[in-house]
Amino acid sequence: MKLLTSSKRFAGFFLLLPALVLFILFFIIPTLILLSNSLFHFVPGGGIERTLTIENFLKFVKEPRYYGILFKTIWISLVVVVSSLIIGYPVAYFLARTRSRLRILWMTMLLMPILIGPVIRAYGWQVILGNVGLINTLLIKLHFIQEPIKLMFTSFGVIIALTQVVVVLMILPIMSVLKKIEPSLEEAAQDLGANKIKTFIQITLPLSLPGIAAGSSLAFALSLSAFVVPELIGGAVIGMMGVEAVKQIMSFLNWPFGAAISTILVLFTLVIMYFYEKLLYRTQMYSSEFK
Amino acid sequence: MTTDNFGKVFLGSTVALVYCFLLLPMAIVIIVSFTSTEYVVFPPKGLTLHWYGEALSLEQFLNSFKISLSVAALVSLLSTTIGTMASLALVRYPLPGKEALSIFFLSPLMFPSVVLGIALLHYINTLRIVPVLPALVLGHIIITIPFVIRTVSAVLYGFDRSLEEAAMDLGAGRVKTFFKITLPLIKPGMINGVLFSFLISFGDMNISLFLSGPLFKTLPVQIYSFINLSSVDPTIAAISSLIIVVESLLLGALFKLLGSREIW
Repeated sequence: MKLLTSSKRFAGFFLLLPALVLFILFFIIPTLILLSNSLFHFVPGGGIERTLTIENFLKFVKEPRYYGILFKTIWISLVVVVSSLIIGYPVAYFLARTRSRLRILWMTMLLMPILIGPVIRAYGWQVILGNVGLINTLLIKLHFIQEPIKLMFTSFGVIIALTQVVVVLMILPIMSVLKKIEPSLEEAAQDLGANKIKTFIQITLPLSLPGIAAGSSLAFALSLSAFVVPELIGGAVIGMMGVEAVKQIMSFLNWPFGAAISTILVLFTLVIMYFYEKLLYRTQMYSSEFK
Repeated sequence: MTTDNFGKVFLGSTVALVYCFLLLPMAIVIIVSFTSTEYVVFPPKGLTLHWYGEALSLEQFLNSFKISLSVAALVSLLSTTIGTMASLALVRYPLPGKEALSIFFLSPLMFPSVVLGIALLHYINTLRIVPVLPALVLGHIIITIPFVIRTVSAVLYGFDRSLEEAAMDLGAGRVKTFFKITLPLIKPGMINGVLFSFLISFGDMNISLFLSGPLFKTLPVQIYSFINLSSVDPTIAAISSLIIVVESLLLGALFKLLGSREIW
C-alpha cells in the first residue's frame, strides 16, 4: 500500500514536471532577475552599475510626477471596478438564471472582448472616441454640441475602454456564485411574503458577495497593470503604471527605474492575489469554477 | 404592470445595453472598414471593399499573419498538453502543497503580463541564445496555461470515477483506461483549452510587443505599428474586421460543438 502511494506520488510529480520547469525557467527566474534590477544604480545612457541601492524607490516616492502616476492608476482602477460591478451584476444574474437555448450565444459574445485582444479593442475605441468618431458625430448631429469634445487622451476615455473588458472578468465569477444559489431559497423567501426586491437584497445579494469580492479583486489587479488600452487611448497624457514602466525601459533605457515601477506593480498584485485566494478558499468555489 | 414584469423588463434592457457596450468597438471597426474615404470616419462615406484588398495585399500583414498563426498553433498544442498533464496531477494525485501549487499555476491570470513581457526581453538579452520564435511561444505558454488548467480541472472535478474503475475491473490496463475512458471524457475541457490558448496567443500584445523584432512582428504588433504610424488608415479597420469575423465564427463553432456541457 505504501509502495502504491509513493509510486502514485511519483507519477503525479512526473505529470506536473513540464509545467513546473517552464514556470520556473520562463516566469519566476526572468521576473526575479528583472525585479532585482530595481536595486541597481542607473548610469544615464543605458548602463547599470551593480551596486545595491534603494535610490530608484526613493525617487518614486519622492517625486510627485511618479507617485502621482500610482495614485492616478489606483483611482482609475477603482472607478473601473465600481462601474464594472454596477453594469456587470445584472448580466451575471441573467446568465446564471437564463434557461434560454441562446445562452451559448450570450456566452460567446461575452468572451469576445477578451479573446479579440487589446489592440483591436483599443483601435475600436479610438474610432468611437476620436474627434470625428461615433460619439462626437452623434452629439453634433443631434445639436447637443457645436465643437467636438475631447474624449481621446482623457481619463474618461481610458476608464470607458478599460471597463469594456474588465466587466467580463467581473461577470464570470459572480455568475458562477449565483448559479450555485439554490432557487428554492429565493422561493422560500417569497413564500414567506418577501417581494422580489426584498428577496434580492436580503438573500441573493449577500450570498453572491464572494463572487463580487473575487471579481472585484481580479478586475482591480488587471486594471492596475493595463498597458495597451491606456497607451493607445490615454497616450502620454494619462500615465498609468504599466505605460510608465515601459516608457522608462524602452524610451529612456532606464532599466533600474522601470524595474522599480514593475516591482511596485507586482507587490500590489501579490497583495490582491492573497486576498483573492483567501476569499476563494473560504467559500470553496475554487474547485470547479473559472476565476 | 406588476413589479415582477417590471423587474424582467428592467433586467432585460440593462443586459441588452451592456452587451451593446461590450460589442460596440468591434461593430464600429467593421462598419468603418467599408468607407470609401482615404481615412477612417464615422459614419463611413460610400461603400467599398477596397481596403480589404489593400490589407490582404500588404506583405507586412501577410508575413505577420503567418508568424502569429504558427506561434498560436504551437502555443495551443503545447499549452493544452502540458496544462492537461498538470491538471491531472493537481486534481488526481497526492502531491504535497497542492493548494499552493494550484495558486502558483493560475497566478499568470493576475500577474501583470506587461512586466512578464519586459522580464522575458531582459532574460533573452542576457542569455543571448533563445531565438525570437521559441521565446514568444514560451512566453505565451505561461500566460495561456492557466486557462487550460481552469477548464480541464473543472471537467475533472465533475467526473464520475466509477467509469474508470469499471473499465479496470473489466481488465483494461491503466494506459488503455486513460485513452478509452479518461481522455474522451475530458476532451471538452481540452478543446476549450486549445481554442482559448490559440486565441489568446493570437491576440496577445503585452508579451509579443517586447519579443518582436522589426522584421518579426506578430499580427497585433504589426497593427499596433500601423496605428502608431497613422491611426486613420482604413486598412487597419479592414484587417481588424477580418480577425473579428473569423474569431467569432471559431468561438461560436466551439460552443456549438461543446453544446450543453457547461464549462462556462
